[in-house]
Amino acid sequence: MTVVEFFGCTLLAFGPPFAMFIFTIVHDPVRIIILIAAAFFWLLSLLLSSLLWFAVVPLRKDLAFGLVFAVLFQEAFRFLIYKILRKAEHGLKKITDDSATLIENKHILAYVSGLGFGIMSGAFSLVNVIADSLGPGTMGLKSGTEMFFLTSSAIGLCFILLHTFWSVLYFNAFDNKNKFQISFVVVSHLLVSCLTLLNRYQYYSACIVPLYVILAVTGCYAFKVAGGSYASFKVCISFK
Amino acid sequence: MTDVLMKPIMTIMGIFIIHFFIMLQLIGGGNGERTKDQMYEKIDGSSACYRRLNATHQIGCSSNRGGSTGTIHVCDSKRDLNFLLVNGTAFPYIPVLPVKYFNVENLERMIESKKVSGLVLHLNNETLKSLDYFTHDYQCPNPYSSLTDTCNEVSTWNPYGTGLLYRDIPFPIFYIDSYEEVLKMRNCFEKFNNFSYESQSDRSLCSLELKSFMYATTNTPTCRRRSNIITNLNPVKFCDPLGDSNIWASLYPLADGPRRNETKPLKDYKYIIISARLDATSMFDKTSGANSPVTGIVTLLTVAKYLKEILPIEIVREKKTNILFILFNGETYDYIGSQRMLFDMLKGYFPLKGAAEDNILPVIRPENVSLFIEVSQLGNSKDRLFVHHLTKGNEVLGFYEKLVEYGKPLLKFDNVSDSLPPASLHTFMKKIPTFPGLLIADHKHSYSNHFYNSIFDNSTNIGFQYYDVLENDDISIPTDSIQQLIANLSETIGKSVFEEVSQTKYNGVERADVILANELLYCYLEDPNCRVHRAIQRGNKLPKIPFSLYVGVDHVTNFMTSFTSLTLGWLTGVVEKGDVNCTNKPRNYAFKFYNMSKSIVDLNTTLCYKITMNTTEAVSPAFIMPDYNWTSGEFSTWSESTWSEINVRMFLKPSAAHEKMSIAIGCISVIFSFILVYFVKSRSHILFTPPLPTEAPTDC
Repeated sequence: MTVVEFFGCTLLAFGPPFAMFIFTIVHDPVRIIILIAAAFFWLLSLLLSSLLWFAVVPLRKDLAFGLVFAVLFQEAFRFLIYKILRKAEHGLKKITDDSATLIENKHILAYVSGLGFGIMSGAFSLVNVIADSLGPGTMGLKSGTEMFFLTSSAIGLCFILLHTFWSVLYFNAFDNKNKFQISFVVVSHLLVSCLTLLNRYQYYSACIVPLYVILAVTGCYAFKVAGGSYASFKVCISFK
Repeated sequence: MTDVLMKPIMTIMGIFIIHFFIMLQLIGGGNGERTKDQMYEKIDGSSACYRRLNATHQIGCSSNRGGSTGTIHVCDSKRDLNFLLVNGTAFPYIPVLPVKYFNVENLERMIESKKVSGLVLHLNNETLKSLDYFTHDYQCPNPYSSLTDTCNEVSTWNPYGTGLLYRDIPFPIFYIDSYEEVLKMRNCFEKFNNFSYESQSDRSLCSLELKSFMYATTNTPTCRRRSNIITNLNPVKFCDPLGDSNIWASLYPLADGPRRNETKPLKDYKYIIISARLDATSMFDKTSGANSPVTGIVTLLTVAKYLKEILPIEIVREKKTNILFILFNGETYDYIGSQRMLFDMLKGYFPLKGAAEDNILPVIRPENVSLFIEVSQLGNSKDRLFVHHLTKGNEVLGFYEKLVEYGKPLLKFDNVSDSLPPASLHTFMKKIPTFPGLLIADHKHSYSNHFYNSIFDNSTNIGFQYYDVLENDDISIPTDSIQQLIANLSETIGKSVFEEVSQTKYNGVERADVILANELLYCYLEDPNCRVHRAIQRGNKLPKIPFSLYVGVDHVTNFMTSFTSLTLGWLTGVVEKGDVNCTNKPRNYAFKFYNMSKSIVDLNTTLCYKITMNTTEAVSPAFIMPDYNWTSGEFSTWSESTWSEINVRMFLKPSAAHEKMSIAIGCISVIFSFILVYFVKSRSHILFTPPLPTEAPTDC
């Protein structure tokens, strides 16, 4: 029955990353490999987080504990993939057909690995929820409202995009030893993750609105770090 | 380049998969709470109506594959139902209806309206008080396998019968007798559905999903053929024949010998058969058959015990007349048990296939039967009973005279000639018109039981009240109770059979055991953990709900059958004297040996019983004859469809508007992002100023 709802939510959450994948990743095999490697690193971080959650029995019921450590693990693995990519740059130069743009513009590597991180995290946070929307029913019988699925998908999308932007900022910060940018990424990651804790109290708008504000801010920051500016934006949309 | 790439890709993919499984393990093993648990509320304690098939039709109900869903509408009156059928906008609906409104008229209106996708029936106290009749069998039960003209204008046996049990209903029906579960649905209905009906289709509504998909369709031959097609290594079975076991026991052994392993069959005997039916049915997967068949079964068992006491083995041997007690199973569905029994008897397979060659037991054929006494429904009579028969033979009339004689002054018997209510006797008389048989019942022209084959044929229907007494002081059990009636009837039958066998009057003072009748009724109607059942076996504690009386499918043996067979064995068995180990070694196929309690008073003293009881298969001959002509109508052809799951759950169905909004947002998100990403990509050289080449990191 709510196959309709299932498709709506899936398209909302995974439509934009799919578009990004089609237009910016798929033409270069090296980018695909990096995307998958990044996704794999996100999974490793999840494995460590879940082991920690599993080991610390008394705090299993406390989502906040697991959440904070999951964020820290993710950031640690983001650093790991940064290190590995920088080490692998010479090798990549040999096998890529498009060495000029890929290596010279190092934001591209950051963007690709960020998208990999994001897609995997989005998939894991949404698959369970969206799979459950396939039955005939919707949320709201016992708790929650019928907006639950749309909200979850919107949050999932937000996280995919945030991961992409965070990686751009983070890689650049380590290249330039910019402590402010590093702490910005970690703190904003912690902040948005903690905001999602509000979901269980059904304050959906209290979660979504700040989340998208932070997304916009992070997006602009990453845009600026990647070499964009207000002037270039104006030039771009003026079609001159 | 590809070789260089393949290796890391393969490794990564491998680790990926391992990783994924570890994650699954963690998720599965953890105490995860799924979104589904929040969305669906399981409704427990429901029993479904399921599909059965005969040679030409399908009856009963089935849901869609994957379940039928519909908006809940709790109806408390016929007006509510009418309102729903006329004004409802958010169809399909699933009405939640008190069971008393389940009748032909309402059902047909629901089917015609096409607004109903399922039906939930429930019990409320009001229903219990005001229900005068509730029976969904035919007005003439078993119309196709009974003798013609036995059910007519004068004798319509089940006048309130609606025949709904035999209707093919296009939606699933569930019966729920738990008040809490109904309350859950009512609360949900009040919260989400029960206001502004015009705008129902614009909001999320409380709905039900009824899952009872039946695999079989059309008719038994079709489903048998489909089940036998071997398409893959895992054959699928679509239906199973109805059937179980007939129970029989002889009053005294059919074989005798000097030592345990040297018995010879006692041939050239005449047999008096005392029989009753063992099964009932109902619309749902829940039965209660106080009047039919329990009163008959209890009478038969009480007679067995009484005859064992008054009729000595010497008379049986001298007169060469033994008594057989037979309980036929599956009689509700076109006399499955008796048809099979007669089929076996005619082939010489009764009491044992190969009895003639192996010389274990004597072959019993219909012509060896000198009298067939069937005990039918008795629950609605105080002292007046009716003896139905079709033959004019001396045996039958003679036996009737004896009943009248011995029944005085407690029981009055009426002779109803040329009449026979639906009974196992039909099967025998159809094949052998001169078969000497009679039927004892509490009704003359139509059942006094208005709840025949329904869930309301319970202990209240026969006015049964259990008396927790052990000593045989008849004062404690009132003389007008059903227990006393059964004991009196058993005594009368017992004495009459005594005279029938011995050709002399019974002058003893032995009384039938009213305490036993009391206990047995309690066993079958209220608590299976009763004294009789504890005397005959040492099993686990059973749930305190009466046994299901539905015959079921052939490969499953019912509790009802096993417990009743042991009880009959116990009551007709002989105690092995001396110090014996109670095993059947050296093996003798004529007997079984069981350790059972001495009596219901003394449960802890066990004795070794040598019993003659045995069971025979009660599956219609149609299913064992390889070339049976399905259209002949000779034998019962009922089969039951298989299913995989039966359950009910409640949920909130999203409104169409909400669904449209979801898909619209999704599509907009996709289209917009495609345009935006393409735009950014195509103009990225303008948007992002290329970095200076010297900025490459120095530490690599």
